[in-house]
Amino acid sequence: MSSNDEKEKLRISRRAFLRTMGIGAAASTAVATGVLQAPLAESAVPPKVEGLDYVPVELKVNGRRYALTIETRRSLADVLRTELELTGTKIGCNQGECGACTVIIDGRAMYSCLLLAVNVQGKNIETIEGLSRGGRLHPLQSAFIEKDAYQCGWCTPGQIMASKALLDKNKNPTLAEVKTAVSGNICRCAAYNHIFEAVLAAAKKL
Amino acid sequence: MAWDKVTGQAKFAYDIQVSGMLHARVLRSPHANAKILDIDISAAERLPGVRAILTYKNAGKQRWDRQRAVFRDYVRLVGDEVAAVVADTELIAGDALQLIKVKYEALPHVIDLEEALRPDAPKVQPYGNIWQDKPSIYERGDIQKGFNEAEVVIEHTYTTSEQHHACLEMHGCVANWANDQLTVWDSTQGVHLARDLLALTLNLPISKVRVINRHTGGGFGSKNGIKQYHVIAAMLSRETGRPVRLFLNRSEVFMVTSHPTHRPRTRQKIKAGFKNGGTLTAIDYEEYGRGGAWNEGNMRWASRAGDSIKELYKCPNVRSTNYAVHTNLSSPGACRGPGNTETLFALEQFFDEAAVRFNMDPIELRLKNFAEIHPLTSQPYFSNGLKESYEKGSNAFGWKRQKPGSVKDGTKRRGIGMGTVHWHGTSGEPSQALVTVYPEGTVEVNAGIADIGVGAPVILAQIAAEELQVPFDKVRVAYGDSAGTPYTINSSYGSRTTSLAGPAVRMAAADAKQQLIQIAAEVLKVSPADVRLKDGVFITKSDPAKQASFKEVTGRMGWRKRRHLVIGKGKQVDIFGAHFVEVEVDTATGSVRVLRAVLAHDSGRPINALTYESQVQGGFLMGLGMALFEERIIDAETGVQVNADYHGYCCPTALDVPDQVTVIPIETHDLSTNINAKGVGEPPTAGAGGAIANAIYNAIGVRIRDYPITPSKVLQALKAAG
Repeated sequence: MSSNDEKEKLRISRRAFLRTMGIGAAASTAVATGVLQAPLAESAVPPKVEGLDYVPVELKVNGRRYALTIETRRSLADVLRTELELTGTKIGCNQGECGACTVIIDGRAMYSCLLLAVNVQGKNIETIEGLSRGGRLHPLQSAFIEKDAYQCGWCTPGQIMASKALLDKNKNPTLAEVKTAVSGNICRCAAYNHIFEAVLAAAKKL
Repeated sequence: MAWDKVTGQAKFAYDIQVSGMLHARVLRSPHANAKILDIDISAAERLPGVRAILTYKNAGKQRWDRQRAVFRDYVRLVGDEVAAVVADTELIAGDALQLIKVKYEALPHVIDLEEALRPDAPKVQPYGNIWQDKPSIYERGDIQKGFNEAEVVIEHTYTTSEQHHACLEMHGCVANWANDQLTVWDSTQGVHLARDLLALTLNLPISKVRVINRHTGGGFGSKNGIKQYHVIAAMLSRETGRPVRLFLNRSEVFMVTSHPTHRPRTRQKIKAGFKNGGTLTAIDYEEYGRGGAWNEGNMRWASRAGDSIKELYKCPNVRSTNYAVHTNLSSPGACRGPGNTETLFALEQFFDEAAVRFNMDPIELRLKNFAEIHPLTSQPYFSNGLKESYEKGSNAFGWKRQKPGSVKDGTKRRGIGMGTVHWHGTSGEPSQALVTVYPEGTVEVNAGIADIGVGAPVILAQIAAEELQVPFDKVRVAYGDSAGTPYTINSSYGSRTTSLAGPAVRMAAADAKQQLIQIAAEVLKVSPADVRLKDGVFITKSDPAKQASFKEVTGRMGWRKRRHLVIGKGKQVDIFGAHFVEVEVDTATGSVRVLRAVLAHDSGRPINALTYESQVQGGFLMGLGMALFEERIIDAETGVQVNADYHGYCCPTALDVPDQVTVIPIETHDLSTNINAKGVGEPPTAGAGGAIANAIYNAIGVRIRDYPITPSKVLQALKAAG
């Protein structure tokens, strides 16, 4: 490998790291220099990017097994949505802040955008699509409709999965416990009051 | 609709996967102002999976607006578009961005509102930093005479922060430009406005553009019309001959959203003259709003505040002077209750300060200046439930004046506050809706609206069901596709979807009903004038025993008479309300918690009590966020937003919800439309700030006039007050 290639590779991984911090971070490094000194490329060899290795992966989602070959760098949320076409799991930030991508993994509510798909093999993954069968809704889903516990609907699957993880362990939660359970799930429409009512109503029916 | 949303079946634009779809990302400027000396895309082009890259060098002359091309050899703000990559996957497109080498020459920039106003500040536009080089001025009466008559003059200055819409579904679209037809799946507040603007910008006939959208993951004003990413996705689709998906990431959404972006930062000075008893004689209002770098229509949002100064209270002498100030940032845009929210955050705190000065109850001072007729038009209101909002709201709250700083428990202080809600609803544009009655007795409403989360499809179904007296579940609403719906509303903004689309649906349903009565008359062998529809049955007025069921009549109509197009018109209305809150302030930490809120809203007739309550609660919480913690923080040195994510930019969470939120609908009979509804989406946000700030004052006895009222500002204010 020529030293040029080495530099290229190094540069990409550093930038890739900065990328995860958003354009803000990249900008703050650039601005200090005034004129950006990034060298123009001379190399004719295709650049290398890390994380491009494809590996076979087996996922267990809603009781069904899926065998896939995917890039190691792909998140569970991304694989659920684009490979399995389970788009009920939403992405609102893709960086572990909003909770729209909440799924249940071995009984725990987790942000699927922060997990690499390769790391959750062999685990039980539950998504919103696993809650209803043959047109029969889970009590949480019925309660969300009854109480108008959503507005735009983007955070709704995450709210329901976070609530389900709570109710699976605690059949009779208090209002405070419900609030804590969904406190990692932003609802920008702020349907919170109705969400609390829905979860408490569903708990009574379970 | 509801079913889709709770089962994960609801397809939003972000979820759309079209066969052969490619993925795009945008390279954005790290500089607040710079010339691009060179761009080298050769390394990025060699990356396997990259399909096309657009820069100013190869993108041709496609314009964004009259002022500028989509890709240029200069940038005016951090986040300005520099290049776009389309690749087989989003990750590869992201990799390619890192391989594009750009050589910039950084130029001076200005970010801070006050700095931009200094004479030696870098000029953002050739004419200077005041948009169009002059303020917009409104004046009525004689301001000097008003102040001469005054016995008391009060003056205070308030600042409001840059609130971001921060909707959960990120901004973007999937564009497919095949042959001469452009189809766009868009996260939008209005398919018709998006379609019209795409046609205009891309120089295509409107008939060749189709915009589809089933559900929108939040908008709050940020998804009206089109943005640069729509045009870039279309350009890349034309370039590659493939459908192209282009969605912004979270930090892009916060920083630029592809301008416009956010509610503007404002500095507002209110100077008012009163008689000793509290009657207003004059208001002189001056507002500076932080705008963006471009000389564009969206700059108007920076000088939009002031309507409530002119319209809410009775005052013969008023002057409002508004400056939109250029800085090297993206332009502000409409954000839930634009203008009025900023104004009321200031004005309603100002009125509280005046009430303290006059030693009056704040409601009494407001009633003293109550406008019996519209102060701008001097016409009577279509309806005005403001007095009733004060009365019912204060009763439900148990409103009783309490001395500032008098309720203590250790380091905690409790206070109460109130504020007025004011908004104007429907703009009077024509609206069209189609109601089809099928022989089986079911009804289809065809409406060019978007589902942005306010429950509009449900409300339109209710209106048609009521008019045609069929059960709600017999009505289906078709919406969300510009190709399959009439021009019901161009986009859902201004709290007017119900009050604009509703009347059109009702008129279309009434027209259909009239035609059904014709058929019923044939069935019953009587004259149509002798037939009425009651509880789903056609009854002969002269002989009530002679009846025909709904299905019996619709079954007779065959396929010939089934479409009914009716155009209905709306008018401007005024929406009022009053908010009452109790807060707890911890003087040790400076943190503020809203304990309870009573929200009384006059929105005419609430069509759906449940979604009405959802709107009021949600809107209030968005205002609570703006009052207490929401703010885009921009580093003045670099022009970079340092909190361009949900960790740094705090939206209210489940834990910020007051323990008690009571919504009180004030049902006025508004005659501006045939459904008597006025709209409710925006006003609850506008009314939150003043009430909360006043309650904080009541708790600690110190005024904080700079929103958001963060713990550090509370502590500083307490320290300054000793």
